[in-house]
Amino acid sequence: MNCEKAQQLLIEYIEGSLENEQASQFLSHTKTCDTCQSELLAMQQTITQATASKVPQPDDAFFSRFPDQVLNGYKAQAQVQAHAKQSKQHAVRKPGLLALLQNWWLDTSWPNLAAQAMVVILAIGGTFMVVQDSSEPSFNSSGLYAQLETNPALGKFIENSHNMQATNNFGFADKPATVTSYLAGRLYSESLLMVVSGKQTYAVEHLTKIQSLLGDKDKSAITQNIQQQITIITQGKMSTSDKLASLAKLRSRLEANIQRRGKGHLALFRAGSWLVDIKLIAMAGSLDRLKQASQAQYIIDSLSELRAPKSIIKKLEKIRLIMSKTSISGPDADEINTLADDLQQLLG
Amino acid sequence: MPSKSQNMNETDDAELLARFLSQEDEAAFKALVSRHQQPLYNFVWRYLEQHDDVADICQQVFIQVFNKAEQFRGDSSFKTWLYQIAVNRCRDFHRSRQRHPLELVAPEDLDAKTEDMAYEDKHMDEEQRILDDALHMLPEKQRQTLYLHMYQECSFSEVATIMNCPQGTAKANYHHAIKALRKILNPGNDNEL
Repeated sequence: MNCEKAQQLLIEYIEGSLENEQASQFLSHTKTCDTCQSELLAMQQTITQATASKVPQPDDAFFSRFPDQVLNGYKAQAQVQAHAKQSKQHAVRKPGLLALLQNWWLDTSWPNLAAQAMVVILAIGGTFMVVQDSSEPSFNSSGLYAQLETNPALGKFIENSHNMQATNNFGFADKPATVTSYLAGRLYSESLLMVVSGKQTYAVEHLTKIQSLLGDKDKSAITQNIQQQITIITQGKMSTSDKLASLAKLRSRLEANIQRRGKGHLALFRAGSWLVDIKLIAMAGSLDRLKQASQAQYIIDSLSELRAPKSIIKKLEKIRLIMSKTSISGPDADEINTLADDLQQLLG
Repeated sequence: MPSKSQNMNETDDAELLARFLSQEDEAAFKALVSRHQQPLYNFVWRYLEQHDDVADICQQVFIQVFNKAEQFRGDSSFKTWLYQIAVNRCRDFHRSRQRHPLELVAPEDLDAKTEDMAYEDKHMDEEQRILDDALHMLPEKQRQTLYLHMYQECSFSEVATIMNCPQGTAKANYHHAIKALRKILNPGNDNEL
């Protein structure tokens, strides 16, 4: 055996995978060749050194919970993919249905909503989802706020939100349209909170901001719709649940308007609204209502398509993982609250 | 009578995958993940040179494996298939990171980043750090081959399938990787032929 052949067989010799005859030929060569022998020793030494490399392991609980996390992630993604598939099938019908929604909106007589308020909310939520896109996860903020328990922490949130609106106009004029879509969603959900908390003036301020964001003309349909809503809130004749019902209708109108700007805008509007929703639900400690993994996945997918910064997607992923848990704990809710806060700062 | 978990432990990968596909058996799904999660975690950690994205990437790899499960024909082992997907996912992630080298860390992420670094410092001694630095200096294909053969215990035939190259190339890559590593780790003692 010559040096060239010995070099070729070096690794296999070290690993013990040579046939007996080849192995003894290799050994005979290295006994008489100092260069190949020192090469063999050096390679063995390097392999021993490299084999010692260790990977720092995560905490003990990581591997015991990881299979469940993967399974939940898989299910959430399968659900979103099924929705996307259905969405394509519905796409052809959508323009007609949207027109139907607009007619339904304009034809409805507001005072008729007074009776059976909660049923109306659910019916509106259901109708909205069918008309808008039956395949996407529900973003029924009004339904959530109607069931929101009062909590001292909410009072602080309301004042902070109001102060921020009063002192900061978010620089609307300077923001690109995508940001205004997100802000409109955020303002919308905050206006629901204001109505539930009896802060009608604050709610009107929020709605007026949305009006300035979306209403390109004084007499545009969306401007008029928002103005109708402001009138309903300020008249004080309707109960809180009736006001929430009419705000649910406003949402469908806002989403139809924003969707015309593009699919990404709709997702941003929903992201803005959803972050407020989950934050408030977390603050209220309504743990079961935080199981919104499919909504989280929708936001992740949509913002990923819009090439949102990695730091945003990572925080959303963390929220989705928590929401996928079988049982959501108080500390989990606190973490969602903190993550939603961080995301609002990053996005706003 | 053997318990269900014992049954799972003794069932091979292809059978578990088939059970999940035909019966939506979630226990089979979790048994497969459980069996491969730690080696995969180690592989992804080595590849990405850090730990904060490892869990996310591992989850994405497994989800992709199950999403494409119906395409698995059993021509190669489940392990080979898993690492094919893992190599591609890690490579894409690595490249996307290289395309955005100036990524800013948001102020609120800084604390987490500092914690990550402290975590790594705590878990790595100097010798380990030198070795890891040396491994990351290897050319990509040599590094992948070394990770797969040395640490994931893939045969050269499996490495060849995963990296879509002839077996001879896999062997040569490994040989070159060890030689290059030797040069990096022991620069003064190089007596190459």
